[in-house]
Amino acid sequence: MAMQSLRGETDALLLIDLADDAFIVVDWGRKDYWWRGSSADFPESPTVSKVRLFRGDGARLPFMLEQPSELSALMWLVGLNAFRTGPAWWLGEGMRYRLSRWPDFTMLAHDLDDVNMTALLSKGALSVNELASASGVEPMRAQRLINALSLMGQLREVVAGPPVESARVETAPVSIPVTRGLFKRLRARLGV
Amino acid sequence: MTVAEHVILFAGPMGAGKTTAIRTLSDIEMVTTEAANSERHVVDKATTTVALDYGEITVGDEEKVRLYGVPGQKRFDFMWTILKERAKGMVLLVNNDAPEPIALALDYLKDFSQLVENGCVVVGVSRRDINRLPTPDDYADAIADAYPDVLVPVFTVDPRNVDQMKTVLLTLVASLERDESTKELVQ
Repeated sequence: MAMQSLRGETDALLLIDLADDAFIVVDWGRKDYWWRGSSADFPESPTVSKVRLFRGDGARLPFMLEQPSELSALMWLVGLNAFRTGPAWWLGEGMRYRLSRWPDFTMLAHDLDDVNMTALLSKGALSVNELASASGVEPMRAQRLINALSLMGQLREVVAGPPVESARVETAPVSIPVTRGLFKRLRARLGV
Repeated sequence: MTVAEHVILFAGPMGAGKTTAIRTLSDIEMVTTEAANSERHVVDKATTTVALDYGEITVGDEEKVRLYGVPGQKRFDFMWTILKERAKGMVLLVNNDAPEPIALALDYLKDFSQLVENGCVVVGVSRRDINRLPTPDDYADAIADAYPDVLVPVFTVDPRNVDQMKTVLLTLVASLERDESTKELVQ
């Protein structure tokens, strides 16, 4: 909740204490975060024990011993994993979504379904169910991507019109483009 | 037997990592045409591509993705004209430690504006470990100002990293397919 409401802040420092003496520090001005924990891997479902917020000029960490990570990577992880059973709380009902900015996928823990769905959202506004149908994934998988991209501020909402017939997604154009299906074939070929 | 071909260009300034990116992705030993770099005052590398780099990925028996690296030096831009007519898409690589890298990226995009306007370009920003700024968002803002009707993916890349280069290539292919197959679907 804190991360969604702080989006766009420039002078705010968020300190999140986790179980096992782990912690996350988010510097909203730099769009960076740092975390320390007992495991080398960032916790997928961390237990938060305390959240502290510092606002105002100079709400920055003066130095860090290690290179920071980009905030977008944290937002991606939180968006994907914090709402595993439905839409994020700030998303309205009956909406379609269109991509407003590609995430820096090479810096995010992603799979190729994420890339494929994002490419669809870059070309037009789709509801979660339309996105799932068009990309051949479960609706909850599509919902998690929408949650993550929305938290990162990389989607815009469009009020849904009449439903798009899912069958049209599979309809081949009159002239079949030569790249049709290449994504799937190349993905298999490259083993990803 | 006719082999379907998909030509993908790798463009960008000298030193951005085009040759390395193709070597990372190619099935075959890359065909490269390098020669002594006559512009060492611009980029300090011993050799540079003077004609083309070529690599390929075979997809099944009847399909190849052909990867062409076009020369970084603009005096070879006649090569670009030949290749861009055949190209399905382009990966533009820009080294973030170049002087004014965003202006440089926009300059290259202008030379391939038809591909940009058709949504057939991915930008890869290399050497961000050397220069963290500008960020991919800074590039995306500038590109959006120049091309408000298209959404160009901008990724941080290390051209030696095979997973990253696969993501770049597959993002480009996904964008090409979606452009072709979803025009009816989208609003």
